[in-house]
Amino acid sequence: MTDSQAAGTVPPFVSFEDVGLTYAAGTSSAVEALRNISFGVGQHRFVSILGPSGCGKSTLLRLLAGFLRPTAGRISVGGVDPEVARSTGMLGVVFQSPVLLPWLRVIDNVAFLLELKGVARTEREAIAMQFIDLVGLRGFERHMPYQLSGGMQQRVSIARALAFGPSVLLMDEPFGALDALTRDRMALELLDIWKRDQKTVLFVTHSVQEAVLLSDEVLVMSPRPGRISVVRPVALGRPRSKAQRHEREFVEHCKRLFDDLDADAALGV
Amino acid sequence: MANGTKPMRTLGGLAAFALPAASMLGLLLVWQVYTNAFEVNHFILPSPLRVLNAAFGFGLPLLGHVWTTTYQILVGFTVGNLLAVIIAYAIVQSPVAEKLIYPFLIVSQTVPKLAIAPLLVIWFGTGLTPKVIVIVLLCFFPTAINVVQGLRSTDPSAVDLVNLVTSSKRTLFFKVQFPSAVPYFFAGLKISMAAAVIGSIVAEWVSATSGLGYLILYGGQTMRTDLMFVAVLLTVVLGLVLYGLVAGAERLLSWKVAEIGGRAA
Ligand SMILES: Nc1ncnc2c1ncn2[C@@H]1O[C@H](COP(=O)(O)OP(=O)(O)OP(=O)(O)O)[C@@H](O)[C@H]1O
Ligand SMILES: [Mg+2]
Repeated sequence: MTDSQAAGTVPPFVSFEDVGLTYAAGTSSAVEALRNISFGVGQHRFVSILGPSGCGKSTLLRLLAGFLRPTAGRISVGGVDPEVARSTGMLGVVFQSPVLLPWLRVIDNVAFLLELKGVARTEREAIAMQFIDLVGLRGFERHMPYQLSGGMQQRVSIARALAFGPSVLLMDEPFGALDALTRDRMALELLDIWKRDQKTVLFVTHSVQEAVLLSDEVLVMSPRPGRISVVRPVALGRPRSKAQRHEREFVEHCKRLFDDLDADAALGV
Repeated sequence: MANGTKPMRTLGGLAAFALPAASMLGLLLVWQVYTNAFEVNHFILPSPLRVLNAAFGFGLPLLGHVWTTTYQILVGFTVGNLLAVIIAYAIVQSPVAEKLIYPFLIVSQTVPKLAIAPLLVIWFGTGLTPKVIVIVLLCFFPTAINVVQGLRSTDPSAVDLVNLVTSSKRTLFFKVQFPSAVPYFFAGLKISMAAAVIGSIVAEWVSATSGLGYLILYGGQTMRTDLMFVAVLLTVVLGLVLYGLVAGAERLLSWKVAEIGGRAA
């Protein structure tokens, strides 16, 4: 162990330093989406991002995946630039919309990233089947995307991200289109995978309860331009279960986050 | 691959064929009865039976004319669509190419093809070449425009998706952009095929010694209205068969997009 690590100054696994992003910068239609974003996420942590619609959550994930370059500040993932991290295949993304390829069957969609990676057909199909099972879509593997409901499509896209086996998962409202029961089941499955495979997860959600149930830490964002208004650690034991939701500590965590969101909204007026 | 089930399926498989066939037969019947009942001069409007008779009377040489026209169409259609795909690819890949090519595209559409056909005869003689050129000019545009639209229809998030694994432009093209464009390509091909048939007939009117277009002219010059009808009806059948082949290939090879209409030239 080096001195710096012993001193606790080791840079976090994911770090944002004073990051700003302005869309169409320098034009008359410029939109400042993010300003002065600084935070760190330790390796193998589960961090949720909460914030009102339009505050820049998706933008933040796009920066983290290296799909966008910040117009100010620095971002690093695993000590390197996001684009470099991405090129090593360590990043998995669940987009806000399913982004399925309409000409591929469910199984081929789930195996798509593995196919690009060069994994042999039988092997990638076996992996894909495993995750199709996990998201509860067994029996639909030969269906085409248009034959699925919105929530089913979303689950296919989750299966695709997981099948790729990334060490960092960026998830943009992955359960947004699911019913309450499926949502809970998927959330707990996700926790299992996160634990078992030691992933680092950044998880955007609109559900305060979901954020508390899943996370080690919750980043609360405020809008226009998007900033991080507060970082709340979730001091609840693990493993987590649905039953915890009615416990006093859990409810208090939720209440505090609701207050944080309310305070931001009040400021925004 | 996927055949989209129609949202509202009101026709069974049999009815889908039987009903159009019945309406066509009905038309022929009315036509026959009308010409008999009113003793229409067969020079003005020959009855279906007379047309059929003329076709058999003409015999095997008719097939030669059909083949001339078919061959022209196939050559022109193939060349035109290869050109269309190359042009579309260049336009999408390079903004410079787009700027260079677009004026030609527009001009090629505003030039009246029939008007330049005689010029083409002067330049290229009376053989296959001028006819193929007219067909190419008519049929490349719908495909080119549709393929450009198709290649640009790629979901930007799908590009991000591919970039999670590789930044290879080639992979992106073959795994995402090309398949996205396939339904647009076929929508273009269908319009293109219809245009190719028209192009072939029109080109033969300028100079030809064989072909269905030639036969129509010949029938007119020799006062053989029945022969003109034979040629026109054969052109209709040929058009339907060729269009059917493209549509069949589409069913086999393409996935379906809801609501993309092909764009006419
Ligand atoms: N491609 C773009 N070009 C210009 N402005 C954009 C673009 N994408 C997003 N924005 C703007 O950036 C801001 C943040 O958008 P973003 O999609 O990150 O919000 P979000 O927090 O994910 O919202 P939601 O919860 O509704 O998904 C918005 O004001 C939006 O208008
Ligand atoms: Mg979003």
